Amino acid sequence: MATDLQRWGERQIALLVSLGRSPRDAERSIAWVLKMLPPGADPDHWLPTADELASTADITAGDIADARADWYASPDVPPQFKRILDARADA
Amino acid sequence: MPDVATYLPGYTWSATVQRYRSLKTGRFVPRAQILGLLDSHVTARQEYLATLTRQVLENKLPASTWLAEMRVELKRLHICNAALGAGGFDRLTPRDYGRIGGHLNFEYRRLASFADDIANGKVSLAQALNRLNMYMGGARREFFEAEKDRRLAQVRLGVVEIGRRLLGAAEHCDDCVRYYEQGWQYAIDVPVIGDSQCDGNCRCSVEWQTVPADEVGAWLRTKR
Repeated sequence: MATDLQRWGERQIALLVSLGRSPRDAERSIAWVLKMLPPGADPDHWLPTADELASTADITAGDIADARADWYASPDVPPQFKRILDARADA
Repeated sequence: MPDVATYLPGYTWSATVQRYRSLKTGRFVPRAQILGLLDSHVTARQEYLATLTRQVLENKLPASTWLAEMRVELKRLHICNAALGAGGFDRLTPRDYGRIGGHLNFEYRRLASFADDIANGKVSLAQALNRLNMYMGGARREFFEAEKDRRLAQVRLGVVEIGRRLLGAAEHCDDCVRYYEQGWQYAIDVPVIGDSQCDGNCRCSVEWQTVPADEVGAWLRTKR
């Protein structure tokens, strides 16, 4: 049986997808909110503190992989430039 | 049937001239195309985030969901823009990671305050969209910083790296006009985009040139 938080998350994912977000990205964003949400807090009214948000600013290998995947998936990057950020060193 | 290289041509990066070369044509990619790619990518993301911002101000989207999307989109934009300026993901160094992380730390702190203001009804739509524009300018700046870093690292005998400010398609602050009027400068003296009164609203760009050391005097302070 779905909890209130699960139902809230499903509504948010559906909303983001209706606004053009990919389901994968929508799921990840909402999973982040639910992970950060303190026990008992209302996700409609909770916000992280500046310190909590800033603690996620560091760049990890996972972030690079995510940015790369997003570049390839983005409809706003024309096909002829999809591979440009994977340029090899000129011989 | 054309292969993948026809649909999705590959590229190389020439560290010597700091330019991308298309493997399909064998030619360098014109700088105007790289800047066009930078701006179209930023603009597309800005449009999506502006849609979310309208939704949150109309109480159709919780501020937490809006913030989660802003957080991830800003990080992706900062990384991709830095990579574009650096010559690709493989050329990003720990120094770049540190710089991007530092910028995001600052931006995320401002973002938390922005989200609070939205949740408390303290910002109008126009104010919110203007603040969004500033975040996008901050992400755009990442390209120019990565690029300038590489220019400064280029130490070659007999040549000098110079650059000059080009005014973008926007209203210009006094600083940007003054930087433009200074013409060609030594690379180290070229102000970073956004380092001006207009801050994140800056949509200027920079042009770079490698010139023989004995000719640099004829370039400096000109707009040739």
